[in-house]
Amino acid sequence: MEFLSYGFMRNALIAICIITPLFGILGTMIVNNRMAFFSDALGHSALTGMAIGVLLGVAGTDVPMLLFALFFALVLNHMKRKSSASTDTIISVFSSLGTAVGLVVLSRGGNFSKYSALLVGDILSITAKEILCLLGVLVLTLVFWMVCFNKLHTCSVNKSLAMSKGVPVRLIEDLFAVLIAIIVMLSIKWVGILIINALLILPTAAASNISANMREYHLFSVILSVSSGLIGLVLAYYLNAAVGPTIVIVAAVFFAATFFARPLFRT
Amino acid sequence: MAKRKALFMICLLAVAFGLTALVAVLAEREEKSEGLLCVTSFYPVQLLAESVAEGAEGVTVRNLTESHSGCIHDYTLTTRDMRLLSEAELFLINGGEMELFLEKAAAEYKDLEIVDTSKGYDFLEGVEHSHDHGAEEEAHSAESCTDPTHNHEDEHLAESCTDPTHDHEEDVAICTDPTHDHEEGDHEEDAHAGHSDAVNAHIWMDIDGYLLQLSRVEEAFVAADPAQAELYRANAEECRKELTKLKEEYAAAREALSGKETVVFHEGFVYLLNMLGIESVHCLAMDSDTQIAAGEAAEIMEECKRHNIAVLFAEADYVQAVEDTFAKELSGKVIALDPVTGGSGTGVSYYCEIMRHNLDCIKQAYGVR
Repeated sequence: MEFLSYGFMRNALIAICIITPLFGILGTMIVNNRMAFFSDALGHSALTGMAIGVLLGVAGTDVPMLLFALFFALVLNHMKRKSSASTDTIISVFSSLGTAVGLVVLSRGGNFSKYSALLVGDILSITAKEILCLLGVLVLTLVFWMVCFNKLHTCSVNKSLAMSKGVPVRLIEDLFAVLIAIIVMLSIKWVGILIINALLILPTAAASNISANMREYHLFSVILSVSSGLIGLVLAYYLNAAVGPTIVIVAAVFFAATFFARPLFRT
Repeated sequence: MAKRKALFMICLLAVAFGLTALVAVLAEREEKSEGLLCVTSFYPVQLLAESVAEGAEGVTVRNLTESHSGCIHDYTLTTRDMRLLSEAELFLINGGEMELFLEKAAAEYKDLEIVDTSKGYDFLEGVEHSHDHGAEEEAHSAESCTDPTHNHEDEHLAESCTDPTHDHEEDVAICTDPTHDHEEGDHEEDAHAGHSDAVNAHIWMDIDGYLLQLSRVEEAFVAADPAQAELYRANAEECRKELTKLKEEYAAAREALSGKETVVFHEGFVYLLNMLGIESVHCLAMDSDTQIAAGEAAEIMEECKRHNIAVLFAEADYVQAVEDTFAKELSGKVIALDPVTGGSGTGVSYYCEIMRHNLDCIKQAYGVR
């Protein structure tokens, strides 16, 4: 436990203990609602958000990033409902546009390298204040999960059914999109654009390999997510590797393990 | 079934955590160093620290960005770096916004003494904007500041504003003389609006800048470890001699090379070529993750044609890319220079070796003996 003697590792550990259960829960909802690609697109829009911040000359780029992500998420949802094109096409258009605008602005004069940390993320430099912020988001997610999960789940099964049951489908969908936007934006600096989606999806996918019902699904997802986070952090410390990618690799190993263990649980 | 699943999960996690613990035990730990641990942020500073602390007892010099070659604008700290930082007593950085990755880390380690080795240096402006306008202006003050014995004032004018071949109407970049009557004032403002405050941090490519860094490193060691002050001073003096000799070699080559113009693809080369009186009419910072923008490429070609430039300078890794884009069309050649941002050698003598090689390459490129 020698690594706990360093302040940055303690902070990273606490941050991971908050982010990973958050991702575990959110991941199940994202996968259920087939929004994996949506959260990925949101991650890419962070580039544009940051570009807007840079253009406006705002000191911290967090606020513009968050505002833009909210806007992005809601507009995307709206387009999805209005357009006749399939959802993944719309999302792809938005994702590419978000990336392109960000790259054009941020790479002006060949200075993109200044911002490339956003691509990989850096959880080791997280501060106490930012951890509190993440804690707030965890609470928010738990509240949403408890209040809205059943409704959201109904939507994911069948929208017409949900509407006939009096579920405010649009509101729930928008709220969920907003929640994803907030979480993705607040954690993207620590996790990185390139791998944030892996962290959202992998533990959940691993859990779904061996789960028979919703309760198991959520439980396993959170357990695997937290375990990958902790193991990844410790391994990264001892092997001197980048933390985020290490966590993703661990999560992928869990996925493989559960995948091959599936026959054990067939009845 | 549920029991079986629970058992599976427990086994899976036990194996995973067990393996992790095994790695933790087996992983080779870097021994905590006794005595003064000096951490440098990057290669040129490391070379200085190694030379100044050579032979000193109980002093360890470690470099943060060891595995990283090239400039470190986009560097992210690894766990090893963070560990080094939290154990370091002396932390020498290049400064000039080179260590962007430190902003956060520095806030975490309030006790750590960070020595900015470029403090007091007048940086050239960065190349956020394609024109070298501001850079020229700054170069001026930089040169005159760090080297008061030289009168660059006149030379500079000779190089730029009084040159009859220059087209002043169009080329804002050249007219930096404050006494010059700007007719295109609006134009100039536009050019400035595009500038960021970024500075060109590659001061080690200017030997005067490197000498300044040397003094800062020397002072830092003397302050941190007064018991061995004499050794540090003697070592630094050695380095100073070596660098001064190198500087003289550059000065000797200046006459033959002065007045030439070129385009460079590394910010550091602006400093390097400035020492030889070669003007970089355009500087484009190349990065592994940057493409040359189409407009910028066209602008560079235009400028090359206008200034009759046949020799371009790039870092070895990017020579091919630059050649592919420009050299064929311009019938010019792209010369590889080494920005001393990584290598196998140690100490200031290695720096001198590379800089000598650079000088040879430049001379050869222009056919100067």
